[in-house]
Amino acid sequence: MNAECGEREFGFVGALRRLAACATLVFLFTCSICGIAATAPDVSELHRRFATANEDYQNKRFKEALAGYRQLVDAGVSDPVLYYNAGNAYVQLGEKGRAVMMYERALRLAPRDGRARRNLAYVRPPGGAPAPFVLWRPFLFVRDLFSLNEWLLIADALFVWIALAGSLWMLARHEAARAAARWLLAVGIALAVAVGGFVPWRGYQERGRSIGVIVEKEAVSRHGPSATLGEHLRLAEGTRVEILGNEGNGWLCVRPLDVAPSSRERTYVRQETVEKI
Amino acid sequence: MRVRSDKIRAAVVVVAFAGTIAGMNAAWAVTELRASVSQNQMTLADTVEYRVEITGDAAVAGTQPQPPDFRSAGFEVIGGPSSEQRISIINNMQAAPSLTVRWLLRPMREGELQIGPTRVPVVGGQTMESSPVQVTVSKMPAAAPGGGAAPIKPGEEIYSARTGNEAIDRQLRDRLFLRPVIDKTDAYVGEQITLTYELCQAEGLNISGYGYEQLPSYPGFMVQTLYEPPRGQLQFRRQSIAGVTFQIAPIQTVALFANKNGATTIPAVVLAAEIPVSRGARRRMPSVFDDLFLDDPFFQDTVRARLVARPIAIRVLSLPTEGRPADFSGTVGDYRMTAAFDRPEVRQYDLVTLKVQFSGKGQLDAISPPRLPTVTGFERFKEQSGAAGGAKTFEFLLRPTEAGDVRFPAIEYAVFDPAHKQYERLQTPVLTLRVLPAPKPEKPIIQVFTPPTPGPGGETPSSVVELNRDIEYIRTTDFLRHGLMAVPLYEQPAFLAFQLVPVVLLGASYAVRRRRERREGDVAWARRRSARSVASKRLRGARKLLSAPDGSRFFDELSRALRQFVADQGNESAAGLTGERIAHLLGERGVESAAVEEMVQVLDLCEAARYASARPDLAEMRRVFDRASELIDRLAKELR
Repeated sequence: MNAECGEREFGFVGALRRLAACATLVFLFTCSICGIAATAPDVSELHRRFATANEDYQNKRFKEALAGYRQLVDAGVSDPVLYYNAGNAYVQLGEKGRAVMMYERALRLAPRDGRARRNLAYVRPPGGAPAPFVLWRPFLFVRDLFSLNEWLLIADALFVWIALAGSLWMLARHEAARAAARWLLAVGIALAVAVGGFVPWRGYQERGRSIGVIVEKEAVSRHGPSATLGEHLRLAEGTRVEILGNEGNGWLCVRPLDVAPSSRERTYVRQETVEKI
Repeated sequence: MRVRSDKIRAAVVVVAFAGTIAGMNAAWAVTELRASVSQNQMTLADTVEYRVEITGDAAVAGTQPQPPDFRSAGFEVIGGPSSEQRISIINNMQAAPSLTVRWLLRPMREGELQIGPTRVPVVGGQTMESSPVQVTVSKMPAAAPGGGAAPIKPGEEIYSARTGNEAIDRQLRDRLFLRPVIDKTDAYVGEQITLTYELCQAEGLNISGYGYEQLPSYPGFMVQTLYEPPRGQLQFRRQSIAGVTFQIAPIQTVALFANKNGATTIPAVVLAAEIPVSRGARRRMPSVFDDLFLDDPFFQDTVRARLVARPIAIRVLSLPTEGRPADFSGTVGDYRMTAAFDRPEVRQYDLVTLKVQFSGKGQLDAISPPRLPTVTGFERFKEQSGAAGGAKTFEFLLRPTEAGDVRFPAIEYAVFDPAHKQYERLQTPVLTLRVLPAPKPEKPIIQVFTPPTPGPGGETPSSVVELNRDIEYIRTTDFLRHGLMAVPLYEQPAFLAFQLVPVVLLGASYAVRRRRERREGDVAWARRRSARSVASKRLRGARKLLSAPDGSRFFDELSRALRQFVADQGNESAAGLTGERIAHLLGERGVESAAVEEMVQVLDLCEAARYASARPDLAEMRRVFDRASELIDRLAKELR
């Protein structure tokens, strides 16, 4: 082969084209970042409000502290620390149901937060839900180890890993490099398969089901969506329920979660007794 | 010759067979058409079979009868049409063929209903019509005011099994039926009604199988199944009624609890049972010598009988408002309530369980937890409940905080007793618990708490109760560490767009690999692809030499650029390329002659300049360079 054939030279026009493509990508990326930044609220102002609410809490002005936290929550700030502190404020005001709701929200975003877990265990009503089957527990542990976003990032990293290993395998000229690439590819695919099951599972847990919390001291559930129907269950404050449907007349069809399996039946509660997590 | 004789023989057989068939057809020329129903008297709950029987040549000519409009006649088609063709041979003589087509109908209204004629096209373009059929449909039989109770009461209304075969139906009358046995038809809301469906068959009848045609349904009731035959195996008991020995088996027993007051009806239940009969019994006119229900399986056939249990009218009464206690929570039934601590003596600040148990007749699941009286000296922590073995137990986890003999007041619970038609107040005795003094523990009290009733597998799941501890304090750091809004990544466009990166990476790698493989496998193609870039590189080198003192090096580089370009396009060595060869190569590739001439002229110029004694002026060199650049661009476009 002619030695000159192996030489690669980029033509002027081709270089211009590539430069234009890169510039377009950079421009779009910058625009998106600028757009996000433009819609974001003033971070320092949020920090100031949060600090004020914390001061109120430390001075045992729990109502004011809660109002401050709620203001941030209502402004659209979704932060595990904020939810955790709001949960504490609810506990101090005796509203255990709403405290459960806040701790659950915090744990969705930061599932390894030990403090939120301990406080949730403290305020959660003593339930009859038995511990899961022993062989099932490791899977539940792994599922709850990461939030949905973390699981998505893990899956994405594996996706990139597989793509890089695949590219290396296709492009490497030396057999040793190709063998290493094959090994990396196999490991990446195995990990992706293992992770692949947890992502939708966690997604279903967080987003697939509508979960609410009983926020009244003792909510009476009925056999049907009417106060005239027979009393079915009495659900303690803080009991998690799966919201199965809205009957449209101020009643929700729910299935209690933190109760004995025999009581996990479809039942009806008034809408104002449940707040969605 | 043998083959030929076989063919002749076969032809003779075919002709003879055809003649026979033709002769037979001639004998069947008369076609009869008859329409009938399985019963002319029926109720709205019954079904009727409408049969059309065609006898004669039309029965084998692929004729399909045109049925009447059943709906306008007041019937709904729930089965069919099913057809059966029959050719009988009697004493070696073939009788006329017959075709029977059946429909299963259900009346939609009561009264004298007439099913119109069925039409059958016959030879000659004519149409035969059957005579219309009259059916008298009476009302749905009124539900008996009182439920029957075993043994069968005289006058109890029962519906005997129906098979559609009159002879068999006669034999089955009052010998095979399904009856509902209900303990009451007047009940209060929430009161238990026990209903059993019993299959009754006279001794000698042995049904071989059964299945629901219409499942039991209980609109307006909460249902608790008390009995169903294990694995569908009926458990018969013998009972003599009016001199006839019956075998009676319950097929379902349920406890019903009405949700709302008013009149309601439990719909009829329909059961299909398989009955073994003798083979002759299915004929329209069984012989008097036929025993319908032979025990010998060799001679047995099976018929399908339809057993209908009558609908039951229930009157549900609302609970009286008079005398209703304020704390009445809707529990109806005949209950007893007991209460006890799990031990008579406990240390102060230890946990103790108070068990409150309800037993009796009623809907145990619906019993709501009793309200404990307010007692000083007790902290209440946990409550669990479970129903098993005809009792429901509530367990309350308490912690005594005061030492001494603590009296726990009576627990009261309001129920409605339907037997006495009044509200009653259940009451437990006053309980006493001895609490031994003990210091308040500093560490968290942890106690394993076991629910009152085991789970379905017999397991007793436990949970840990931690009592005296406080919540963790608030956080003042790490606020917004996770970003402003924890929006799910899959809703963020940047994340979604990033998913394209690995895909593009893989695609690009694949394309590069393909290109490389082609380049390494097809040298001519690879040289053609890179000819332009190689020439550009040499041109850049030549441009640098414009300012060199020795002009020959510039022209030498320019000449090499042009020759290399042509050599790469033609996959030849640049070393031996002459002007003629270059013209030939470019001509082969279809390059215009003007461009070829230009190429040759520029190369000649370069050659002349290389060996010229004087260095050409810079403007001339630039002109030649521009001509060469333009030429390469032009050729690259033409040869693309």
